[in-house]
Amino acid sequence: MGTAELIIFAIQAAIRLAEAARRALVDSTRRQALTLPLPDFPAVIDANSAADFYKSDGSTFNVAGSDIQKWTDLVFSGQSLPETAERDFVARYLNDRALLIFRKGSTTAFRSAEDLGGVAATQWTALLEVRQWRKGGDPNPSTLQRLAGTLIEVGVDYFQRDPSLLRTERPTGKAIQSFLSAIGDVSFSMEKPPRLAVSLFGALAESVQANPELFGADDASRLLVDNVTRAVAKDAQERIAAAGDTNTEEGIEAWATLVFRSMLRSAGGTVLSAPGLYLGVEGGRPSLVETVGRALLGAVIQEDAVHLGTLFTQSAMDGVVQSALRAVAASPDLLGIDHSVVSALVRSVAGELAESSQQVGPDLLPDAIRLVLDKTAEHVDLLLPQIGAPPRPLLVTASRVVLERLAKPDPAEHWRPRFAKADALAVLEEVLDQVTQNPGWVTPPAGTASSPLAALLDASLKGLAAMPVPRLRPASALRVLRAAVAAGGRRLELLDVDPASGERLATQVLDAVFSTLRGGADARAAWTLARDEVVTAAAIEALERLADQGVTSERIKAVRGTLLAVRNDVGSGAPFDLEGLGERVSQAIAAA
Amino acid sequence: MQASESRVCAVVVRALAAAAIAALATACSFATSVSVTRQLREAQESFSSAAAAENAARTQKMTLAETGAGGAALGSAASGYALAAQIARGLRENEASTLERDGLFCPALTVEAMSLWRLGKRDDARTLAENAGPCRGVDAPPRDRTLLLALPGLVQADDAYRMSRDGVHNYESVKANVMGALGKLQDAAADATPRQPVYVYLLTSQLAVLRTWSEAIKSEGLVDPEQSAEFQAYKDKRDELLREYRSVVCDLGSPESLDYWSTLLGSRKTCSGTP
Repeated sequence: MGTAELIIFAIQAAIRLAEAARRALVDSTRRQALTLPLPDFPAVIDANSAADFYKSDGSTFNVAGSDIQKWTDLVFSGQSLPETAERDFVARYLNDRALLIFRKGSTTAFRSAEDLGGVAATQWTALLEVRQWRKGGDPNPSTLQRLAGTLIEVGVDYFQRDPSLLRTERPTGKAIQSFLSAIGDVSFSMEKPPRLAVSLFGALAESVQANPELFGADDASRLLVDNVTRAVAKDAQERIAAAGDTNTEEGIEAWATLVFRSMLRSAGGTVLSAPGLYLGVEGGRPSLVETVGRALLGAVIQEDAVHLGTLFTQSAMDGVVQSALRAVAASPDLLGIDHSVVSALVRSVAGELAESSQQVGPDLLPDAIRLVLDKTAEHVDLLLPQIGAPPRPLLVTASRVVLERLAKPDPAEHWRPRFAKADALAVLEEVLDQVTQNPGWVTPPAGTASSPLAALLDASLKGLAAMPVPRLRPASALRVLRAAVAAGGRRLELLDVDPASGERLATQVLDAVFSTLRGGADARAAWTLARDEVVTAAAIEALERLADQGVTSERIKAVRGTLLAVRNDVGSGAPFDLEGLGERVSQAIAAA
Repeated sequence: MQASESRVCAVVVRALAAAAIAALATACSFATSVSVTRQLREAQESFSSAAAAENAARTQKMTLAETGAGGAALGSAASGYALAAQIARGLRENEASTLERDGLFCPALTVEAMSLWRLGKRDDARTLAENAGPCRGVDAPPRDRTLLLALPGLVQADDAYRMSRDGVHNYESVKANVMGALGKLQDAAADATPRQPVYVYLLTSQLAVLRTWSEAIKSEGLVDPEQSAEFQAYKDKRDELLREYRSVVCDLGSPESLDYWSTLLGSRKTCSGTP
């Protein structure tokens, strides 16, 4: 198709789509249900109702000389009963009526006058919401029928090169048939949905054309398309109906299409390998695929106005879809009783990490979500102690602490290593592994505001920031930071504050290494020891040896002294030996 | 080669221009239609909200004519009806051709007439409904046609209630309005079928009229044997209508609805057991 034809095709499609949307709005207005008011009438069950009963169906209770007869006659003579008598009369009436119904072999729940006026009234007023046509009697075409022209045009555009993809004997044809059937069942009541349906159809057509092999297994692929279409289209149309402006509606449509395409492309392989697991429906609950689809759509279209903007590319979303499906398959408890757990998890990760992850790197968030999902699935017993309850937010909290610190330099610092996305993810992974081993990392001790994790990261980054120039390369700084986290996992004393300097011991360890090896005026020593790899290795050795043997201010001073001695030795022409350095540091620590 | 290219360009430009003009014309008509439709939806929603508020207030002994404890709820209902009537009338007077083209004229007229009725403008409502022309014809949307046919009966039901409550009219006047209302509502119900959603509304409205009749029998100084004869007539009608109501609402899974009306009218009818 040439450019000119494409332009004309697009204009025609747009016109037809707009007209279809308008007709759908008109149709839905014509068929709009109205709640209808009744004419005025005395609506409260009172002595008048009772008197009618005792003069008709309940006449056997109307015994001569009884109160019932007296009250009934009074009502029929147009007189009002005293308030207490009327109350008794109505109470007797309701009892006698229930008794009569029972005697006649019927049953009914006994209701007080208040109940009948409240609960029962809710029922009968609900019947006054009246549709224009009876079910199946609406002569207007359905939304799907209105859209047929546009869908055909889109289909022609995609499938003209290989029309055999549309044959209904083939899995691809079944998938398309399944989509059209599912989209026809979605209740589009407002004016915008037709465009959504066309966007989703375009995404399906593109996926079928580009990757027909994804739709390999007949029934499973049909079910996959059906599940995903219902989940995404229904959820998106509800959100569109509630949206207040065109921009929001268009945003929801774009996100829905992105999630839909990812679910088809990425879920295809995973889901079709175990269709019973992912597409099975049990007890009327939505299938696993449907749940994940809704969860992801809910995560990217958050009501609290977290603007995820360009954070999710198509490939990033593909990765998250696969990770979410793997996670719930590995740990079905993640679904929760009402399938809400995975949804809440994805939403909370996206919401908590959106801002800080954007500052670290624009495409970090999807990977952070994947990491948290994977780790949660691996440690579901720890993070989901009670089936049906929301997961403990340990990993989300830990991720937030890490990313906030990697994203925001302390105003007091002059420098901080700038981590690339891969570096930040490596730190994050190390931290999440530590937290799953010891959840105490993210719990602030009594009387303190900072969690051990926050305190250690702050102290380590402060140590890194304070090093003399030239500073470590980000990759080297990352190795030091991971070593500090690992050492902190073994020795909480790294967070102790040295009373003389007011610094945490973690900061002091790094300062001991950096200021010694990168300080001093001896050019020959600096030539060997100030090299990035040497400083990094020395810092890691110091952290590991102190974690092995215990951390105190005295021992850190011993490390500093050893490094000074090494510097002097190298300045005097002695060879530098990294393994030997580790041994000397170890001996000094033991002697301190 | 160059000439051939320029011919292709000219063809493309003409095609694009034609498409653009078509798009512009469509866009203008489209914008008007969408705006009119949206306004009508607003009128419909305003009317429905008002009706829901009024229906909910029924069980608290309130009507639009009796403000007091429930004044706030009914005040909001009155505002809703007024807004619905105003929008629908504006559309009918200024956008009749658009409404007719889109098949929305009768829905707009129905909302206006029903709103006027609830606002107490009984004569305006009745006149509008009785002169609705094609909207009462066989080609009109079924709910709207039936409501317009029923509206004079609904107005008469209100008249009967007001006369009975005021106590200044004799029983015969009240009964004439009760019978008039029941007759018109039955005619409208005959125009619908029990399968149509509006049928339940017409039955319910008749039950409401019966309740007014029941009160009138006791409050208009009737004495036997005339009172007994009137009560027997009322009871026969009550049993007939409750039987019909039972046959519809019990199938709809709403036994509480029958329980309410049956208890209000002093009957033992329920959804369980034999009719």
